[in-house]
Amino acid sequence: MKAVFPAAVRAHLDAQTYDPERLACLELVGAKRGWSGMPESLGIARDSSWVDDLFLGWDDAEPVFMPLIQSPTGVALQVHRFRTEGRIYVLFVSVSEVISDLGERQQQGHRLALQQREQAQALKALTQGRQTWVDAGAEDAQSVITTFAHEFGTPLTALLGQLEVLAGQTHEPRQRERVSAIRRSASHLHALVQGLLDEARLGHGTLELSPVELEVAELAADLSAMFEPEARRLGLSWQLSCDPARIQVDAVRLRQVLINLLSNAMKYGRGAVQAELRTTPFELRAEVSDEGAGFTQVQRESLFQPFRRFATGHGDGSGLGLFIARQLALALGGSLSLISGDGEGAHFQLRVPIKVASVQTMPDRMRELLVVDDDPDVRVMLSALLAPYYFSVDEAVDLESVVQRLALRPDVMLVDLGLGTESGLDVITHVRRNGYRGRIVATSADHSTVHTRAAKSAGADAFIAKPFDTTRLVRILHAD
Amino acid sequence: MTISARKICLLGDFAVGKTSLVARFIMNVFSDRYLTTVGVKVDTREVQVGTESLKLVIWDLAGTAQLNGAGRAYVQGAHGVIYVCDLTRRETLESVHTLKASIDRLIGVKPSILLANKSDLLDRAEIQDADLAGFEGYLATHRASAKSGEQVEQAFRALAEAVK
Repeated sequence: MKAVFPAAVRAHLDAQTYDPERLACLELVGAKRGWSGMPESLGIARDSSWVDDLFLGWDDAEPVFMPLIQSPTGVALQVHRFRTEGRIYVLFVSVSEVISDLGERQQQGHRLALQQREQAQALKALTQGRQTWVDAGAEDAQSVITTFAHEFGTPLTALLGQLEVLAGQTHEPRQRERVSAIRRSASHLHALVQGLLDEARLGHGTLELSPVELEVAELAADLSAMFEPEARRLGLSWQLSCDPARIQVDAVRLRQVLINLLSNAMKYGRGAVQAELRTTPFELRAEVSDEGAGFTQVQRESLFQPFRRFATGHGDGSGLGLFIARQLALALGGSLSLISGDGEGAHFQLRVPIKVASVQTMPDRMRELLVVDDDPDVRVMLSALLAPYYFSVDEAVDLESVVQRLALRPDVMLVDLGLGTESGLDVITHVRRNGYRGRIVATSADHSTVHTRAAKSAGADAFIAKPFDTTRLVRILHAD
Repeated sequence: MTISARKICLLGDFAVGKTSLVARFIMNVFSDRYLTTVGVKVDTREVQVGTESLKLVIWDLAGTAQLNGAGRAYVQGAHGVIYVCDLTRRETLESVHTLKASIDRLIGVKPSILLANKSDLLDRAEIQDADLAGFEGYLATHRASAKSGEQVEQAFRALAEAVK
């Protein structure tokens, strides 16, 4: 049977987009109380004191909005309380469907954060252990390795050059095969020597960083130029995207780590190789993934240790690549981690602290941002996207929820102009008329200048089109 | 006879064990399985304070290092606060410090307890007694364990005594 709600509740609901089938309402008049709808279906017993407990400490006259609360049986609810004509109404709205994957994503995020912390701790212990070893007198061994690597490296470089020439002059198939075999062995030796040299430098702490200004898009273009033709030759799909930013970092070492990761992805991957270079004001985050076999738990445990090579059928690595890459990431003040699991392909994440040269100076405090959008996916996406940029993000879906949140005095509002049942322009007009003096940025997927003008006439300070360019969005939201 | 009720909020970073502490206090159970709290959960338990019964309405808020918009709504009307950090993660103590400063500004200084959870993992502790002693503004500071139950009952009862 369809639930019938009191007129005041229906009027309240007219401004909402809630499904009446997922609602229950408690009406309070003095000591009398009556339910409409089916509270049991939301996990609330009609005679439960749980509802009264919710409002303990609140003034009866105060409107209340609780965005996400779990009922005694774990149903995710939004709770609205409002008073009209001497009656108090408490609405319970099931939002389980809307937030069904929010918990899962939150859980995954927390697990990942804990896992990364553990990895960082383990690395720290490893580094400290190695430092003790060095302090105990092993510096001599590092010196021997450095000398050894130098002495071997020079003739090997010459040997490789001569083999290159010889390969170009050899046409007889069996001889070409022999020259190729010698070149592969020499290349392997060369990679091994270079790895040892890098390791010795890192071990000595003599690796000097030289930060320079670097256009991330140029780095991405260089990497694409280097790898895309080979990917095409191997039948792999290649995708590299980046944020447009100018950053300060040791470009040589950063490039070295990325080349190592991309080389591995090309070597061991199948299907597609994907890379992303994302920047925040504080760090560059590079994600490199492939669709290869990934790593078993045993392999994962020793992945970043020196001279570890796995039986992959690709025998030309020195076993030092990932070890050196992680040491370089640490030397850059960052981290390098493997994220994916067994059979899921390899997904590496490199995080390196940077200075962003081209983004405006960030504020010295968190800013409260109210995102007004009726699309839950957009709200979740914006919360995750903007959190690293000094924003504490709150959400609203319509005018009523905006009004409730204005008491929290957001510094900035990002208002979608198409809110389903009402216009974002109405929201902007209303809050300006009611004295809101913070920054308002309007947004819409419709890029027409009519929208921009209308938003500014209503009181918006700026307009940004969807989909968002992160750098531009942050700049516009932070502008005074 | 009407029993007085008091609202107690639990705050702290994610995965410090707030929900486990509530489960230990309310039902005397513990599970090793980590399940993140989405939004807020509200539970109750009656305790005896002197000769009187007192109902504690316990708000277990989703873990966060900083108070967000929703959190500000949930803590309104709180009579007391339990701040929780994880002894094995030093940064969670910093989060507690940040959260308490925000709460004090928002709803005024309320009787508060600092619980340093996971005392059963002492060999991995990154927070020492001296670190806890450096924090002021709490009725008491307890090293506690939702797993073993150490100091959980005492902490809630100490707060109940203060807010009765």
